[in-house]
Amino acid sequence: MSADARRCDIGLDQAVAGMTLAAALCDANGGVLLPQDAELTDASLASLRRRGVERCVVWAGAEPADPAQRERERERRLLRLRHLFRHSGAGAGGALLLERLSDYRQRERP
Amino acid sequence: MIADDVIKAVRDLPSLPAVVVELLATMEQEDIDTHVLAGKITLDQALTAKTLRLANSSFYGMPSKVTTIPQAISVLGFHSIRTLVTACSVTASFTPGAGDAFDFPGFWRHAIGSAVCARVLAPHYRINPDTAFTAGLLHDLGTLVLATRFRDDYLRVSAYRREHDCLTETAQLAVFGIGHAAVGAALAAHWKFPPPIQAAVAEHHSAGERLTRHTPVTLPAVVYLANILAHALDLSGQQDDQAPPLPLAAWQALALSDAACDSVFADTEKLFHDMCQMLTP
Repeated sequence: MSADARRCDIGLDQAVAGMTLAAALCDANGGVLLPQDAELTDASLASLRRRGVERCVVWAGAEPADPAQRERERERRLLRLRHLFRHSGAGAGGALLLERLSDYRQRERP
Repeated sequence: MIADDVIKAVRDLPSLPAVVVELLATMEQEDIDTHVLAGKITLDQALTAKTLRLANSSFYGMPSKVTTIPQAISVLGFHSIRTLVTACSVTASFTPGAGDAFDFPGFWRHAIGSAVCARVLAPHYRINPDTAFTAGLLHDLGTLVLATRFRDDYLRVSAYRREHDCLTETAQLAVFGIGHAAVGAALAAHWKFPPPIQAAVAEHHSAGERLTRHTPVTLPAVVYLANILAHALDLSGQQDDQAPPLPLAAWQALALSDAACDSVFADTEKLFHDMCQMLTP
């Protein structure tokens, strides 16, 4: 894992084959379903869905090679931010915080 | 449902274990006998087992297994153990019932996000980071009281919130006539939390309104900002989450430079995922 990689907690519906687990996935009894650093596959994702797993923690940080994909990811983050500020973004203090966070998300690696 | 019924329900809640009340009280003390407190923690087997499980989690990356509370204190430090024991005990007091509609995982992700953010913010305002973490973790406890002690009525809170796309506090006030900040304040008093933590729980939505450039930033103001940032950083993972309003005067009084903001955002996100692994019930 690169030094830039960071843990990212995502819903299982956002996980795709090829992502790498940043933390082991365990069942309710503490049994390990998949160890840390396992690469997710279509088969393992289907199995996790059947078991009712809703979230997982994956490594993020590697810059996608495809610039279009990078741009789509950046746009998705900014859209989500505007949704979170849908009521408070119009106020003066909220607008300043939104501006700060937009700048932060723009510079953040996908 | 009236507010008095809710406050009565708070008073009927079982007390926290005595040792946890003592640990919370030490947040205000300079001279602490950790050996005596370690002995008292050890008397509570369930608390000891869970604390040791957390101390041995990958978050701390200990090279060898921690098997006793005194050992955990010597390796991790008293402050970390106090935070862990408190967190274990409080989260164990509220567990989901069968078929519960309330989003417990989302609730705890927001609580942990606020705790981590309060800890990261604390040094900027010369506030004790451990106290800030604990206050952040506990700030929304009132919601847990409402959601677990009034399950059917709480369905109406969720429905009201969906219909009006409003803040949780607004929906709770509409249904119960009392919001989680006031309920949490009653619980914090019932559980004998230290006065600064009681104030932070009570004022985590209102502390910003009194902030000016000429008043010192106190623990309630730190938790107020941490709560807003935890929502704004999308830490709860709840699709319908929203950032609460932030008055301009409050933002200016908190006086974070652009660089300090970036560092708070990044440090909070980094710590959040590790803490979630440890503390999510």
